[in-house]
Amino acid sequence: MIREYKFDDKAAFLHQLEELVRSGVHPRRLTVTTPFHVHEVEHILHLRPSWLKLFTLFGAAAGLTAGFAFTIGTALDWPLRTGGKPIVALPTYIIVAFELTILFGGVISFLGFLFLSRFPDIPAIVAGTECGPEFIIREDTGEAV
Amino acid sequence: MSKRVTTLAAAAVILTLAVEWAFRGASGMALVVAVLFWAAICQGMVALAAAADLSGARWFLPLREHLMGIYPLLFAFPALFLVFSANLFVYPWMEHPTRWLAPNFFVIRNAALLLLTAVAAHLWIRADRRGARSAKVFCTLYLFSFVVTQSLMAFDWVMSLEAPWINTLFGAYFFIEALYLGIAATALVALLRARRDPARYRPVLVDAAKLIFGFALLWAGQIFAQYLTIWYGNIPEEVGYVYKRVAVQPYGAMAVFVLLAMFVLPFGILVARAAKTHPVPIVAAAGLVMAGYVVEKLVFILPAAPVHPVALALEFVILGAPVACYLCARPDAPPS
Amino acid sequence: MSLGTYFDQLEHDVLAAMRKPSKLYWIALVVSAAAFALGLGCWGWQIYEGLGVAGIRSPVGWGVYITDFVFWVGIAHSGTLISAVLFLFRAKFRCSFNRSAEAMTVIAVMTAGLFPLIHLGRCWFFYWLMPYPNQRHLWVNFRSPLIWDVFAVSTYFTISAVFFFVGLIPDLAIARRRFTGWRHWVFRILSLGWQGTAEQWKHYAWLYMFLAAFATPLVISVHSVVSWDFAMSVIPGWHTTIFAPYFVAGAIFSGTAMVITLVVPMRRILGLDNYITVDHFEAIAKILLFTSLIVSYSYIVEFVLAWYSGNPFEIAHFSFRAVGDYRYLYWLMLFCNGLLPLTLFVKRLRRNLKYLFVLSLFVNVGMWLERFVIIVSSLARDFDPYNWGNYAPRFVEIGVTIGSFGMFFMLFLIFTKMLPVLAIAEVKEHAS
Repeated sequence: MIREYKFDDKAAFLHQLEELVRSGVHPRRLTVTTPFHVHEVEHILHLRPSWLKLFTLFGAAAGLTAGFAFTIGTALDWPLRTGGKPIVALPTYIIVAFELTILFGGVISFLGFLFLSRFPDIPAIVAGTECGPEFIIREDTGEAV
Repeated sequence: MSKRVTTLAAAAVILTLAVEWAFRGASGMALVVAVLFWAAICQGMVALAAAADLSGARWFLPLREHLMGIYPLLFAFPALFLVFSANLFVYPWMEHPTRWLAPNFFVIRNAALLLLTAVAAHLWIRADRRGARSAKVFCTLYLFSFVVTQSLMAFDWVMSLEAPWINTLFGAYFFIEALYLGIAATALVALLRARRDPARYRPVLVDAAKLIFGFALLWAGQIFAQYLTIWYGNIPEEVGYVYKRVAVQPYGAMAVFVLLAMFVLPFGILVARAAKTHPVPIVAAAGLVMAGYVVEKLVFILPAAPVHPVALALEFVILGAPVACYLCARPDAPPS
Repeated sequence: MSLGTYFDQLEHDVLAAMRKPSKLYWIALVVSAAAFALGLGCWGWQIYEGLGVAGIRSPVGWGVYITDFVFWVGIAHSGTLISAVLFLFRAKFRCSFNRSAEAMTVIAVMTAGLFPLIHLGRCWFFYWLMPYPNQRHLWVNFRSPLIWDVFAVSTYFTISAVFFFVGLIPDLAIARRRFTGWRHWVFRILSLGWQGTAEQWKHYAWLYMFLAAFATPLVISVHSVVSWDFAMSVIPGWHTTIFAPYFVAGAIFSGTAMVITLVVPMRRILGLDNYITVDHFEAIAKILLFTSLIVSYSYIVEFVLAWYSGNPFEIAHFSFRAVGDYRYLYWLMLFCNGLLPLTLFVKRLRRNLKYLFVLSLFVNVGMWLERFVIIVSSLARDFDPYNWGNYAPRFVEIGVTIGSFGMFFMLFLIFTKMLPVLAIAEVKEHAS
């Protein structure tokens, strides 16, 4: 059975959530939806920190590596001297590497977000599940209906 | 507190005069390097308070009074510049002065600007303490004079050593560095306070650490913009200036140290979230930034003019003593 | 008013803006579309006849098209500043502007991106700018600022679009709940099944912060790279180190002016006075004033240092700007960018929306002129007097410029009817 608590007020919602956790309800039996991000929920439910950081770090590192590898690699592949600059003109390649760091970092972070949040949530899209402006706590009591 | 600071500043000026007299011109640009550093810190901290006021930033509030209270020291700098004026012979343009680069005009305008900055700070802080509405006007005036003074420190004091070389970003670069140093000093003050009152000062510390991180990137962008433009254009009028500071030793090694100290290391140290609240990374980052600033000024100046190391060390300590005394002072001391 | 009632009213008011358009809206849309069509027609004519129908030729090989490119990329920067930089600085006033500003960014970058294609002449060869393996074994010249531009502007477009979409997700879920019919289905798919669970918000908050942290250096680097299109040359007026921060400040300046130009009428027409207040506009006006001061500082430094250097080419060039053939544009530029924004020191004027709107129009004109004066005057008078020559834009270039404005306003008008113009979820967060 799912017991639902709805609140218009953030303070009352947080108070109820704390009460439920304190009374022994396991956080995994609670599903919380809010109209905006509420930091306190993560502390109360002891949610693990997001793994998104790893995607960001990987993306940025990949972009930096790709930026330098590609620019230096292509310059050495066909060593054309332009404007009197050295073949491996690092000051200029820094710019390309910097942009690719940001590009890969941002895009891979976004893809990581989709992956970790299981988006697009096809069942939810098909079912047309809505989320309202209220703060909602759904407790799975484990009892039969 | 204000009286003590003023006394210390006066003592610093007299001691510096004694040192300069003792070296009789052999000190070269030592006083300029010391003044550049300590003026950047003092003016930078007051400028941070001014900018935070005008933008309504609240993170700064617990430290505001203490940082603004350093302003009496600003009055020392015009006096110190007048002391330096005995060493103007180091500048190459002294042999063939022009309308702008003429000794009397050079001394008068720079001393006047330093004095204006100090007076503007004084007017602002006095009006602020009285709750007068004119405080915002003087605050803006201080920021204007800070920008112009730092710009002229760049163009006149340092860039004119290599006249007629020009670098249009130099002025903005100096005042960004002054803000950078101001933030590094603010982080150290916040750290000291956080030991006694963590609840009040830890958020300030975290924000100051984030700003050091951000300014490290901004600084890197500025130095890169200058280097890239000059390197890429490769024109004789300016490339020689960079060449002798990057490709000739020991200046090349010093330049690498500057890059590490002002960008790579603070960035790397402070990138982790945990590092922004831990004392060791913050002291390391702030210390590196300050050391990097001094070495950077030496890289700019040494290829063109002498700097006596003993004079530099003495004047550094003499000018630093009042600043350090003030910043380490207990927070409860009311401003007099 | 309870929070629940406020949220309900907020959702209703913002989404009401997306209902049936008024007559005024249709007129504005038709005019914008007509201007866009003119631009497309002129571009089509240029493709058919060749680049010679434009006014650019030796020595001024870059004219209005490059001015437009830099102008539109500049406009785009303010959106990212408001979204990302002000988010990192925890400036609360940003949430009434950030959705419109982000939309403005994406649309402006799209508009800007057309200009390198238009300027190519034989735009079907644009792919030569991309590094791809080819049978000639040629790679792009990564040492050229024009290629840095390709990477910078593409990165900027991608990250801005991702940031825009990510910010929209919770609001698309709200719109999904409130609309019916085909729009409900569009929002249902685009919102990806968002439910606002704690896990989803947790990942979302991290992503938003990382994107804001990435977008901040991106704002600075992209317009620095655009400025290096000029600074990497050696001609007087272009080869100067201050260009990077000067152009970035100028970009934020012109972009902020465009935000005011768009949001002042939008707020009035869509009835959003309660959510976008005069206090918010005053904060934006302060940013306008601050960036105007940086731009004025740059004007002064460039001018004064040219004289200081004693370099006859530098001195001659800056004299030409002030008293030469383009002097009226130069002085108008100084008036619009340097003098007029100083009036914003007066609080009463900062809080007067009519005044801000008119001022923003002058700033837009002034900043367009600044790019024109920098680009054209330096090319018209470089080192060798034998190589001097003036430039005047021809009908095709003027038509394409009008078309770019038409495209921008048309797409922005469409945005106001298709997507929520306020960041509803963020406004709720600040209200609570």
